[in-house]
Amino acid sequence: MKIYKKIFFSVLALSFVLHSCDLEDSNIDPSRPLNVELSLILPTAIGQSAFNQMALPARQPGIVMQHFAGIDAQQLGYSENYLYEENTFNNYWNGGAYGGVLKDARDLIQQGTEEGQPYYVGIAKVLMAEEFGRLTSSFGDIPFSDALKGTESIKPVFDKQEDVYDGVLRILDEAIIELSKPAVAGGPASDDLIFGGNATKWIKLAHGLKARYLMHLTKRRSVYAQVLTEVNASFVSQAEEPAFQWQSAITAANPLAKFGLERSNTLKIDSRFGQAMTNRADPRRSRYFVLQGSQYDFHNSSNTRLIWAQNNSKIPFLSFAELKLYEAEARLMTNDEPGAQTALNAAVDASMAQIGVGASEAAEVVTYKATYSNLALAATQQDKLRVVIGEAYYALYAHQEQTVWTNYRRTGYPALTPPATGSSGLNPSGVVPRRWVYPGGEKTTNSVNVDAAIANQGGELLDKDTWAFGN
Amino acid sequence: MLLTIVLIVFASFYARAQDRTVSGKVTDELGLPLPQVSVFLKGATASGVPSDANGDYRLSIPQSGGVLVFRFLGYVTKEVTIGAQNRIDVQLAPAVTDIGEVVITAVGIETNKATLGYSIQNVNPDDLLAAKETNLVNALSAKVAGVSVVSSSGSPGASANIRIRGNTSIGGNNSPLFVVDGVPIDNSSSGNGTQGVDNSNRAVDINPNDIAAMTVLKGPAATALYGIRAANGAIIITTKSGEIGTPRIKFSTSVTVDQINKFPELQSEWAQGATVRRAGVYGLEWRGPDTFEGNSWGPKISDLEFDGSDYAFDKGGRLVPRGTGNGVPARAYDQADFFRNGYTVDNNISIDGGTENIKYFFSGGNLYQQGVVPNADFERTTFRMNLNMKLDEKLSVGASGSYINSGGNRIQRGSNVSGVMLGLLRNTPTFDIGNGKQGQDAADDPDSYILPDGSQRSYRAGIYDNPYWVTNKNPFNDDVNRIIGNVNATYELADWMSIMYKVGLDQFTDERLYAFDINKSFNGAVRNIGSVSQETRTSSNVNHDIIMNLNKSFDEDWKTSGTFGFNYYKRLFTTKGASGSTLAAPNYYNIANATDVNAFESISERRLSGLYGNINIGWRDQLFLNYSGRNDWSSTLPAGDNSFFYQAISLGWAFTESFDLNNSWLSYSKLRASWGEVGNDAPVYATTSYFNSAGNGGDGFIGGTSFPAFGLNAFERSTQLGNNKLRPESTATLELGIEAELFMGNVTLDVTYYNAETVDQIVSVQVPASSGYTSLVQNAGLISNEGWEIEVGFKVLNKSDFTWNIDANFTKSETIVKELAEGIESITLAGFTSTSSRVVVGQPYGAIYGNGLLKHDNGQMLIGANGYPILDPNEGVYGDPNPDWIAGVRNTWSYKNFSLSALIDIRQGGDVWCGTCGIIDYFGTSKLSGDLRDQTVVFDGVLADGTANTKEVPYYDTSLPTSANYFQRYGFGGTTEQSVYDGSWVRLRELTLGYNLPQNLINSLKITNARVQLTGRNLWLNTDYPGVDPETNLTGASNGIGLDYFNMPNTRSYALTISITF
Repeated sequence: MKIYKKIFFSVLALSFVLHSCDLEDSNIDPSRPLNVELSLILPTAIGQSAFNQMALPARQPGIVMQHFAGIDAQQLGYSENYLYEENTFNNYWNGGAYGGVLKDARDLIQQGTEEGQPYYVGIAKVLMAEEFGRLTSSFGDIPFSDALKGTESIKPVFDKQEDVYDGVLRILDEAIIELSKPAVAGGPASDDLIFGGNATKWIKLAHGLKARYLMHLTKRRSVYAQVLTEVNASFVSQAEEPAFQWQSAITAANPLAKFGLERSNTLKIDSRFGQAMTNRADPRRSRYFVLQGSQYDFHNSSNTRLIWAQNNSKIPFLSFAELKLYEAEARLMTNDEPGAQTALNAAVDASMAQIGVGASEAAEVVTYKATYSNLALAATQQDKLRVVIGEAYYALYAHQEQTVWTNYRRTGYPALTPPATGSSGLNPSGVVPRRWVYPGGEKTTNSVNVDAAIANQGGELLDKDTWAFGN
Repeated sequence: MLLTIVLIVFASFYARAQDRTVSGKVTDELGLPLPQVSVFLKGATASGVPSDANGDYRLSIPQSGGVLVFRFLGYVTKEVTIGAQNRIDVQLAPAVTDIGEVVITAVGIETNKATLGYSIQNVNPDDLLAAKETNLVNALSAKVAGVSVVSSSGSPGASANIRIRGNTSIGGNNSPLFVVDGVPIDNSSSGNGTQGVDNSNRAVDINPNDIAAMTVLKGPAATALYGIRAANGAIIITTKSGEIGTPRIKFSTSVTVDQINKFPELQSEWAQGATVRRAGVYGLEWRGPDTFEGNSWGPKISDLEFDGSDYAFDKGGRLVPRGTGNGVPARAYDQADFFRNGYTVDNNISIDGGTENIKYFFSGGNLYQQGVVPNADFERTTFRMNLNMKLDEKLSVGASGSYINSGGNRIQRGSNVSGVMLGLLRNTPTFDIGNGKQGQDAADDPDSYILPDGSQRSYRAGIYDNPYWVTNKNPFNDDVNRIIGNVNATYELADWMSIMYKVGLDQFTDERLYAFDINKSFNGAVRNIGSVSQETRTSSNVNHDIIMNLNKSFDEDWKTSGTFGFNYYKRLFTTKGASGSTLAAPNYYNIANATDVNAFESISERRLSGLYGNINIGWRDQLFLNYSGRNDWSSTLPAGDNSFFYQAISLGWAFTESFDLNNSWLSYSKLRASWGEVGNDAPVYATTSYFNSAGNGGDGFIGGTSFPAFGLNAFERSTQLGNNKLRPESTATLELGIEAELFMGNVTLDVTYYNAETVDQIVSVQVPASSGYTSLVQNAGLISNEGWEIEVGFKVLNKSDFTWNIDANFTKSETIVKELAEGIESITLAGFTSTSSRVVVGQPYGAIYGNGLLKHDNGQMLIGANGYPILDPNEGVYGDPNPDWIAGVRNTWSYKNFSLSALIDIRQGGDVWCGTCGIIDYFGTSKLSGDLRDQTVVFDGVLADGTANTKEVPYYDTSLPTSANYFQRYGFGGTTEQSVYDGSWVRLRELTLGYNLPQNLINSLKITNARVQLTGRNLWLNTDYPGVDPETNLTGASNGIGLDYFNMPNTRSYALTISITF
């Protein structure tokens, strides 16, 4: 039947014509954008920075500084055996830092510059400087000037730690310049989760961070005068303190609370820390932990007093207390003891106030200060320094563990006793870790430059000092 | 002279006028068409014609008729006296061996295996059925040389990982293409990560009862016509179709009972607890569930008794030292009591029949499987229809389709505090998870997993879930609705040329609902705030084929055939859903019950066009040349540069035919050589860089922030760099082989050697994160793949009522990563940050990578001054998960109506990382940790100065913190090196006893055939591997292999099958 033949070959021809058409328009993912506005990038840059402040890169210094103690699984290995391996910081390095805050900040700086948006550029530089500061104080030499360039430099070389610190301070200066420019339409507003687009406050934060990273260099440089200058240019009251408000929703919750929930019963408050705060009748202790049997819990989902480990904690980005502690140290070391005492008092008050130690506990605060943060009771300048750093140890718990660790490495305070089982191939001498080893991910992909950096620093194991904190 | 010529011409015209034609169809023993059969008049070989692709022939014969001869290599030659017939259909019986069996080479073309220059193999559909596997892929285990199958576990509907000739691709899929009735189908699997549930690979939707024939295509010479989707080989399935005759009804039913076949050995001697410091001295102490502590490093159970106190976790009270309680001795519980007997009921019915012009086949099947884990199940219902119709002499049309509904309730496993094996194996011997009950009874009684205050009852008070809690409170349901079908039409332009058009569709939706209920500890601490997710995955695969088949013989010496075609393929895959957390009400798994909800959607679409051709030339049934070429255009490659061509050539030489070497010990032998290449395109959307919905993370222990959050939405640049300069990747394979029939056909041998190199791999290469990106899609790397495949058949006995056959296959394959991108040492395939399966330069594919213990320069273990080995700060390769070789040996005995078949499966080598073992050693629940803890040891190794270590140290010094003991001092789960074990095995994979009821008995019942069959699966397993059955993989059908971290156990089964044909 002829009709069959006609139908058959018509269908055949039609199919061929229809399906030989081009394929090229179909390789664009319809579910993901190719470009987005600055205001859609800034929230994740700030959110990641806040995450890093409270997540793994905070817990680990907290463990080695004996604020926390692992009681099970990996956390126990960190506490008792210092098993900080190549893979421990992989996720942070890849996802939190270079592939996180730094990548977002780079995009904001590039796009913000193109679009003439100085405040986005300025804020991004502040975030970038802070993350590089966290990285270099943890790992020593890191990719810095050659970093974040994509295919332009797919295997970045490492910069010396000294150069990275100079770079961090320089980026903060650049941030201040950008943030000092006149406002333009379309600048950051509610997408700025810290200051709602207030450039003046970001400038103060930049000065505060300069004070912090200058302070990292006390073993290498005379920085105290500069620190005081920067502190003066920063916040003048606790009310100005930048803070990040976490949410009750688990998908936007404070990482320390999440850890308490999702990895429950693996990490506790180190009993030595718990015992010390109790012995000192520190009014903050009931906000830091609750004694459960013989263990001090930092997290308990039904105890809203544990202020640092609530889902919706409000975490200071740079606390006023931290700033005042830098001032106290700088004044003390420049022989202004009365000024140092004033600043130290302000720091302790700020720390107490921050977590809601109120009027009803005023007397306890007075007693505490008279007993423990009284420089007059200490004999030498070193003894007085120990008092200042000791206060930082109690005041900066949870929200600024990196500073607590850095303080220890540059001053030796407070004195800590490492666990008897802390020695391993990672830490032959078994001391309280002085740095982290480079992440395995960077080692397997950028081995030539990692090897060069290790050689340049004479090693990378946990007991090997980086330039800033060595003798 | 002239007159003579005129007379002869006239005479021949006259003679021709006297001719008539005879036509018909040649089929094989299964009723499938046999092409290329020589059909000729006896005594007039040169007048012969070959049958066409449909097995049809048409031959001019003298009016007087004669005798028709049907000859086909590998089949018994048949002679038929024509007489007055003008239609003669014949069915040829195979010769004693399988050298000439029909194989389906490509796009539905059936070919005689004897004419091929490359390796190809059929699988007997009866063997697939006899395996009694839910998943078709599992049924292929140990049956075909070159094919390896590793199931993820014995969970109902679990995925299985199938590889033909090993892995070749790093970033792409390494699974072969599954083709049903000429239409490629989706065998993807998803969600087989280090945690979650055992998901299915979608070949699970194929009902093995519907399969009429299966052919395995291995190298590129065999698969070139399927294009890049068959770059890893192809499994070609032909479904059953109707046969001419009155309706034939077949019914089969089977019942299978499953049990776990191997469980890690646990200790039953030591109680929950640890060393505890009292008055400055450490000592062993029982630490009950209310301490939340996980260790089983406590006192001897025989030194403890109950105190009869009111204790929520145990009716008997707390445990106290013997003599200080109520005298009721403490006891250990057997964790394996958790499992129940699983069972599977599989019912199938089919009806088929037809006339010359219309043939039909309908089937329906239902399989219900209840797993060995309480509440785990899987169900598959299938309906299939095949219709073939001849509209006229030239045009025939066909349609086939199946509808499948599958899915089940799957149970959490792997690295996940809800994983049942995690909760079961970490559980201390002194805690009774069933609270007096076992198996399904305990799962059905909330008293086993919920305390009176509503909090969870488990040995750590909710930190690790009680397995019975998991089976009730963490549901994971999937429901797949799928349609696979095609319509086709074939037009015969001439008896040697036909054109076919076929449109195939494979479409499914996979709806998943999974939840974790709110979980609290007795002290009120929330362990899980509860979450629920609903997810809809849709896959749509459309396939258009236009195929022209040519089949022409110029004379008896030269046979030629060819195929030319156009193929268009489009796949659209979408995932949409919402995940919610913070459940408002417990025990209510609906997204509306979640307080915080995030929605997600992803779309992936790829299109592919191809033009191809294939030419076969055969000379005197002894020399066979095949050439094929194909050009593809892929949407995933850079625009304007998305076309690529590849080709293959093969030569077969049956030299015994050339030299007439037909003697008693060698009756037939053929040499084969082929070379072929196959391309592969890129993953979708890899040519550009995108912004992703933002998330903040980088912790490793906790989940991150996901936007929208804080009342804002956000995006961030993907850390994967796109690449618009991608080239297609290419695998070139050289294959050499010989097949032979020895000793009067009693022994057959088929040996194949292949060597493949894959270059320009498209890999998402990890780049230093310090570049601001973590991966870059690029062409990189070289992987070489070399192996041997041997098939041997041995007819040991062949008496009239007793036969004994041995069939064996042997596979040795080695895949080595020769190069990766410049400066890249390794790429992770799957696993954890601590231990993973990777590709590492210079190492076998999938090498097990992680940490280990320091070695002295002389290679011996370095021992520290304290007498213990020292942790190595650097990571490296500690295992090769690829077996040295695998083999399957089947013995088949048949006596009268009985048949008995035993399939032995051997795997030699292949390391498995027993992450489970490292962890249960750490927690002190393993038998090893139980046996060694009161022992001392001198570790074999040397001190830093090279002298032998002589220091005797205890494994567990009870005067120190528990964390100082040998099993805990190297961190959680110890090092990778300490947990890598040899995964070799010998197993009795299948044992089948069948009995055909005698005809005289059943004929009176109008039954044509009735069979009863008993099958045993995995009845015996011999392995040194200490974990569950080493035939397991944490990450299912992914590229990462050799990982076991609280994997679900495998099963052994006993099945009874009854099948009846009316």
